Amino acid sequence: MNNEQFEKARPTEQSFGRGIEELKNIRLTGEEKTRILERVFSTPIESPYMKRTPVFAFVYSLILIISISGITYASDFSLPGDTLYPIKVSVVEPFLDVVNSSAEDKIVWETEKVERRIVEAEKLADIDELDDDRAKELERKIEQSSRAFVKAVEEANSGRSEIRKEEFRKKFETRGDDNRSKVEKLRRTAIEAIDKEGRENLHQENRR
Amino acid sequence: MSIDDDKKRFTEIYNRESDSLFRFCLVRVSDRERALDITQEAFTRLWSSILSEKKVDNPRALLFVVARNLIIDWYRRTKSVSLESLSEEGEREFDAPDPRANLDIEMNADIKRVLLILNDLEPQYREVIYFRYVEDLPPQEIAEILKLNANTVSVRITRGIEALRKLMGIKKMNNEQ
Repeated sequence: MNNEQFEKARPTEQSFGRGIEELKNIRLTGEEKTRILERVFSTPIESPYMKRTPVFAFVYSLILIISISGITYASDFSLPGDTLYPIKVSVVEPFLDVVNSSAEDKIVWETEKVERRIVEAEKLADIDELDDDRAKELERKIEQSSRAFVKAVEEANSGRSEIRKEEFRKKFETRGDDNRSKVEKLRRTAIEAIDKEGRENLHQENRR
Repeated sequence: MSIDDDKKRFTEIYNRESDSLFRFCLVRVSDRERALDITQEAFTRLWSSILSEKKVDNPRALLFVVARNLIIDWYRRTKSVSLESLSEEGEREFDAPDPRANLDIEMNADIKRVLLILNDLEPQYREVIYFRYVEDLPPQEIAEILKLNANTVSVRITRGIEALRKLMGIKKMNNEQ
């Protein structure tokens, strides 16, 4: 019987039943069974946790970086009395103190800190919130930065000529005096504003 | 659960299911080595699922689903399958093996005739009849493997038997399924 004849030969119900039963007897040999099992167990399977860890680490790091950057950025605009101000002066700026470790960097950084305090004082004065305590606190911080600035200048010039050293000191002192006078002026303005308000209130009460 | 417990559980499943899964693959691909590869791959995926603590409610269904998909992918890679036949039905219908290729498998005449006549059935009946009468799976489990409704499977079994009878030239008898 050739293939064509074989294909045309219809199975009887009995031969079909027999065929099904014989089909059920198709099995793996013992050797094949053992070999597959061994191969399955020896296949390196990547742990799903290891697979996910870098993804989680990346996502968490990204969230952390964005959060820190956001807070740092927002704190940059904060003023004394704001929630984020302590982060600005107690976390961000001390960190930058460490980053700017060389004498030259310190000079630039301490100058910037003084300027920051002055800007803060000006902004507070603009919104009538520069009270005596805040002004004193800003003044104290300016003094601190000024001392750090002088120290940095001395460090930077320790190996240089006396003329150069004097030049730095004069430059700082001029700038420091200028800053101090600005703060003093702002404080006077604030006090005057408070006094004026007090007088107006007293005048109104007297009229009543 | 320790790795030894997992291995023990997996070995039990392997001993219970490996022959039927291999048979399913061999009948479909008509190539013993290929069938062994697909069987191994299906069990590797089950082992991977167990290790990753994924919930495997029905390992047999998972094995057949994986093997079925691997066979379909293998057919797509190796045989020319018309796009029309693939898009005809929403579900992933089983691709028919070459009946002549089946003849090359070391099988006796009765098995070959069964495979030939199964091959003449419409694809939607071929698989349900195979699972029901060769692997003795209940309609519910066939439904899980083929991602069908159990009622649909029951209907297909009934219609598949009718089609088989017609192909074999057997007259329909009353009260038969």
